[in-house]
Amino acid sequence: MHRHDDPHSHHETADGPARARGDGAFRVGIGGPVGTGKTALVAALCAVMSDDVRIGVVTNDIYTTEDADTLKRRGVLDASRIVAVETGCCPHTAIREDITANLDAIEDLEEREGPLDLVLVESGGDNLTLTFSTGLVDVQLFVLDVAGGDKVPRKGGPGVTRSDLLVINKIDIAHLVHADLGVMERDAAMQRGDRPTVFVSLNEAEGAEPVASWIRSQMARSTAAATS
Amino acid sequence: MDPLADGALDRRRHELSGSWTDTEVSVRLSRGAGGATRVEGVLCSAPVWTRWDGDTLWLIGSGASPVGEDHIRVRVDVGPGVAASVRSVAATMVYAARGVGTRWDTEIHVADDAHLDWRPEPVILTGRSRHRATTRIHAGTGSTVTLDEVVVLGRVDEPTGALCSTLDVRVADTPVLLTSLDTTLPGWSGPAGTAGASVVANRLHSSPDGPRTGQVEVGGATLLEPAPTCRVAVAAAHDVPAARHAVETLLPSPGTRPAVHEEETNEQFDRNRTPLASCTPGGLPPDSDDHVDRRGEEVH
Amino acid sequence: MSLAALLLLADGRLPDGTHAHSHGLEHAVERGRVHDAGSLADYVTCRLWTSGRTDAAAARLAAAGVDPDGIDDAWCVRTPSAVARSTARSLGRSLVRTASHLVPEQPIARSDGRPPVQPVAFGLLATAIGCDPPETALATVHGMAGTLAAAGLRLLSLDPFDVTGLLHDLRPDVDAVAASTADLGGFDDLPHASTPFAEVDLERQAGMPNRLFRS
Repeated sequence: MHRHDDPHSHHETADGPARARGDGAFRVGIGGPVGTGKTALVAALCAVMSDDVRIGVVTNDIYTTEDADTLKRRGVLDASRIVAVETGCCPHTAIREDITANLDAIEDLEEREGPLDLVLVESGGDNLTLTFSTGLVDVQLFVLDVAGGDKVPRKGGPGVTRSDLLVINKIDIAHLVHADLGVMERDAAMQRGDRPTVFVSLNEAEGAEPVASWIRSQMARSTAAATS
Repeated sequence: MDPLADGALDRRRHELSGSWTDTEVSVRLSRGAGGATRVEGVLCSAPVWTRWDGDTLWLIGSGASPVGEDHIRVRVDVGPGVAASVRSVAATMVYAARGVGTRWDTEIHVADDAHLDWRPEPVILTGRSRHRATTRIHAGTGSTVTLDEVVVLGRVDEPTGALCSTLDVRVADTPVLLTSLDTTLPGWSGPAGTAGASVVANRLHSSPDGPRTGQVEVGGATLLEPAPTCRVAVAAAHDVPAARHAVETLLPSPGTRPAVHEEETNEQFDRNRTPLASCTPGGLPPDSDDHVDRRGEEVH
Repeated sequence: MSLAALLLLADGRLPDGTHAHSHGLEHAVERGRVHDAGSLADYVTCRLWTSGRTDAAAARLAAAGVDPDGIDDAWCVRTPSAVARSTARSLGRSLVRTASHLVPEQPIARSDGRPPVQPVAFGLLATAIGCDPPETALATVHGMAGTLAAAGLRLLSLDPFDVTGLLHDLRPDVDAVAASTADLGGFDDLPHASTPFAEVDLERQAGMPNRLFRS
């Protein structure tokens, strides 16, 4: 389920990707605080998209391979399509100030696994200021959950305000943690203007459908921009 | 001009009266008729004697050397198809340096398809030593070389002297490894250097298809791979047995030759069958680092 | 020479991939050999005078126009740790990428197409943006000191003033190591000192299951 009526609504960065794209895959950054469901989202996206989209995954974890191993165990994707980047205690540096290790990882992945349509770059868990460099990804998602409290969207921060899609996860337990989804939706809209927000529960892979659908629309937009 | 005039005379007297050694031992091992190994060359030159026992070349230090400005060169050529071992009968003590310090150059040529197992006793750096050692290995195609270097950094309760020891390995004329230990560098005894260890050991193994144990680390030791045909076990330990055990675990020594113990070594030497040269092991440790008594003459 | 170019090259914010590397320091911390600012200083000092000096010499020769393939090969022969060699190749690749943005007209590569090892790539980038060989050597040593000190700060949660103090105290070593690379005739003269535990750390960190740094 998603509460936002039109997650494909027009917003600034989707007009044209900032990164100069070659022939490579469309790259989506997935950031957000620890435990909000980034890895679950990646797994769910792979499950619902990999039938017709060739996906690769790059994880940026605190320790070498934690998230990558989780994904491999879930079997949502061939293990060879998942690579881990070590970030030297600074996951945000590796996706923003010095993206070289991630670029190398994507390059290697595409070279080894043949042409890919989509590369998901998952950040290490970080705070609300986390954003991806536009040199690394075409669009970026920021994942929050209701368990962190319904005040989080109001706090803002570049992750909340500037991400291309805000994903609010675990809405199935909102009543247990006394989170008011209406408050979250209102605050998110206030912080983000036209940028879309989706409410999901990733307990089931189908919960990721709204996100998958948004990514597909972004990929189509990017392809259209590249060929026009 | 009289070659012995002026300073030249003084220098010559100095040399004749037993000053610092500048000497070379050069041994060539080749395959003779009937498959026996032929041994030729300058087999003894004070202070280094050699003895061949049929499959092992023994290096015997004959005096308190290296000391002062001693410069010793040892060259061993292992001919095509020959398999040989090199051992020493005792540790090499490096005594107090003078002037430019002591120097020991080892040059090893291992021909195509030859095999050399070179594992001498440790080198012990006494307190006022200042020693430079180079070991150059030229290994031929299809050859195997095992070489140990074990350095003891000072005797018991003694600060170490200074050592710069270089290992230069070429296989089929291509350089594969050039590395050195230099105890004089800042921070050398610190956490990136020896971290207080008193023994440093290296075992080199060069072979076209060396055995892999799969083990890459044990104790304070690790296995390095400078090239696909060349591996080095590096160990820092508190005593020689521990260091040797570490490198032996990482890179097992070739063959089934029993471990060398000093008593056995001496016995073996006493029982020696046919001495090839009338060398007499001799030399006594000096009473002090400064007082040096030398014996022995060059035998060619 | 260009001082602005030197400052750009020596800036820790240059996107060169080094922020995720500790060059074995993480293993030394894990084993307790490095545990405070003092032992960190000892560690850095030793690395500067050994592998740091070899790197500085290689970068300096590359900046001076000596054959990059020859320097690269000679550097590898002097680097017995396969982990250190592959790390340097990976960091060289990062510099090739950086250079492709800064000086696209001067592509950096070995003649076989592979990226050069990090110090060689660094030297080529340095000269391409206007640094001279002595400056290149200095920036190399400075970079190693900064990378190790920053990694130590993160790994041990040290007081940043202590770490800056450590770097301040190391100024004479940084200068001396860089200066000691003058007068090299060619890549055959590259220094080759190494130390037991530096090698142990480099190799073993690669096998640590829960490491924070790539090397």
